[in-house]
Amino acid sequence: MNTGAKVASMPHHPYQGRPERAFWRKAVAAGHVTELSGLFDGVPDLDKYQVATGGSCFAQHIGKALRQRGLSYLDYEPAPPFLSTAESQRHGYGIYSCRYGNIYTTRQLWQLFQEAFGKRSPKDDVWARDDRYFDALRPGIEPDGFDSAEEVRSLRQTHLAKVRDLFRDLDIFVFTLGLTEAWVSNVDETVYPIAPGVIAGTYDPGQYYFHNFRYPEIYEDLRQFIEGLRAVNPKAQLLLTVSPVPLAATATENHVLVATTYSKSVLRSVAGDIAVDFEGVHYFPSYEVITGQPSRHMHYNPDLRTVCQAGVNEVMRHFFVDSPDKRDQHTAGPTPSAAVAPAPTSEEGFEQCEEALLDAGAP
Amino acid sequence: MTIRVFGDSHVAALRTGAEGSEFVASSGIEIDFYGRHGLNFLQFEILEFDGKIRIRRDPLPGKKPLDYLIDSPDDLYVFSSILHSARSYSNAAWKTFCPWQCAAANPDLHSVSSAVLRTWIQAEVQCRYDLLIKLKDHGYNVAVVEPPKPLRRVPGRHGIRPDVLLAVDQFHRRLVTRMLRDAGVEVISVPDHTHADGFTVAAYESSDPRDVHHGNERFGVEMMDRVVQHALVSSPVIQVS
Repeated sequence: MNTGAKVASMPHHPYQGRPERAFWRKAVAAGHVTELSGLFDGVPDLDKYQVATGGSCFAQHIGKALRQRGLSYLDYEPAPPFLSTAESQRHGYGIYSCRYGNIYTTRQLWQLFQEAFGKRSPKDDVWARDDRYFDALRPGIEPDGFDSAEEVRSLRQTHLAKVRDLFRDLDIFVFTLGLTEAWVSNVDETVYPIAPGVIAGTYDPGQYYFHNFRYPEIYEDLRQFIEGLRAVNPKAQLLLTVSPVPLAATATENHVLVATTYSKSVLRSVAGDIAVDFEGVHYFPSYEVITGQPSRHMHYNPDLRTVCQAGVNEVMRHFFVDSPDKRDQHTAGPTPSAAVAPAPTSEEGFEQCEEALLDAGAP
Repeated sequence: MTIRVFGDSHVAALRTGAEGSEFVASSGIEIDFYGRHGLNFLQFEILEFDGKIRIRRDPLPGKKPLDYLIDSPDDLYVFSSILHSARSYSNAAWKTFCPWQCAAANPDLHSVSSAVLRTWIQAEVQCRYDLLIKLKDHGYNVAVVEPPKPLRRVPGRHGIRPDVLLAVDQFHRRLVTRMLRDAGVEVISVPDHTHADGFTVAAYESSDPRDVHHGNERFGVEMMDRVVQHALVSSPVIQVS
C-alpha cells in the first residue's frame, strides 16, 4: 500500500462546484419525497405584495392557500355576505381574484385582458340552455344561468371593470397554465373556456373550430399579455406555473395521455422560456412537484387526474420557501417556510372545473 | 268560519285595523289574531299529528315564544311573514352591493345576479314556505297577507340607497308571490293607493318615527277589509257567529 502517494488531480469540468440540487443522485434519488427541496427559490418579498390569481382549475388551490397563509390576496369581486360559503363557491365567488372563472389557455387570458381594456368585444358572448342564459366566456360562474341576455351583459361589464382595476393594482399575478386545446369562434376568433354545448350553447361546426395552440402562439400570447399588463401597471410581476392536472378529454385524434403530455410539455416550455426572457416573471414548478419521479404519483387521487389535498399541501410547501439568502439566516426551530396546512374538510381538494364535465361524454 | 290571522309583528296593525273597520264589523265574521316577533318565523319546528299542525320554536331572548296550533280545516288561515321583505332589503350588504339592474346607476357597488338573490331569499323563506305547503297538503284554507311597502324613512335609516332598497324589496315580493301562487296559495296584496314610487305613502305609515316597517291603523283597516273580502270570496259558506 502506497499511503504516501500523491492523488492525481481531477480534470476541471463545469459540473464541479455546482450546488447539490443540480445532481439527480443526491437531490432526487437519495432522499424521500418529503425531503425534496430547492425546487423553487421563492419570490422575494412576496409577503409585501398584493397577489392575484387566475388560470385553470389547479389555480384555485393556490389562491386558497395564499389566502390561508394570510398574504395580501386580492379579491375584487367578493361574495355578498348573505350567501353561505357553499353557495358563494357554487356561484363562482372566492375562487380567483375576480369572477372570471377558469382561464385555461393563454389566448383566453390575453383576450380577457384586451376585452377589459376595451380592445375587443366578443360577438358570440351569450349562450342559452333551455330558458336560461350563460356568459359564454365564463359559463361556470353562474351554475343555473342568468335570467336574460341583458343580465349576462350587464354583469359582464361590471366584471370587466373589476378586472381592469385588478390588473392595475396587483403586484404579482399568479397564473396557472392549463390547456393548449380550445374551441374558437369562426366569427371573431374568440376562445372559449369550454366547448359550446357542454354547459350551454349549441355546438355548430360552422360556427366553432377546434385549435390546439402551439408553442409560438402561446409564447406570443404571454408576451403580449406581459407587455399589455406592464403598460397599465409597470410594477406588475408574473408567476407562472403549469397545472399538473391531465386533460379530461382531448379533441385531437391522439390518446388522451399522449395529448396531455403534448399540452403540458408545450406549456412547461413556454413558461420556462418566458421566465428567462422577461424580467419580473418567475416560474414555479408545481407541475414537477406533482408529476416528478419522487412523488411516484402519490399526489393524485385514484382517478389519476385530480390532485389530492396532500398533493396541494406539498405544492404549497415548496411555494412558501425562503429565498436562498433568507434560508441561511434561520436558527433552529419551526421553519418559517413550512406551509400552513389547512384543516381538512369535506370540500378539500374540490375544484370548480368545467373541463371535468367533458368526461361526462365518455363511453 | 273564523279568520285566523297569524304571523309576525304586522299582525298588530291588522288587529288594530280590524277593530277600526266598519266593513269587518258588518261582516260578522269572527277574527282571531296571533302575532309573534318575526325572528320566530325564520326557523321553527313544524309538528304534525292527527291532521293538525303545530309550529313552535324555543324562546328567543326577550321575545314571546312561538307556539301555535293549526287545527281547524273550516277556518281561513291568513299568514303574515313570508312576504315581509325587510330582512332582505335592510341587509347591510346593500351598502356595498346592489342587484344587477341598479349597476349602471351605482358603478361603485358590486352587482349581484338575480340567481344569487333568489338563492338567498329562497333559503331565508324556506321554512315558512314548507309550512304553507304542508297546510295546503292537509287541506287547510290558507292565504298570505302582504306587509306594507317600505317606508320612505328606511333608506336614510339604514344607509342604503333608495333604488337599491326598492329593487331588493320588489325582487323579494315578486319571487315569493310567484312561489306562493305556483303552489296554489293566494296572496292578499297591499292596495295600490297605499304606495307610490315603491314606498308606502305617508298616510299609511306607522306614526312612530322609530318604526321602520309597519303600517298604521289606517293601513290595517285597508288590509283587513281585503282579508275579509278574500274570505267571503273563497269560502262561499260562512257561518257567522
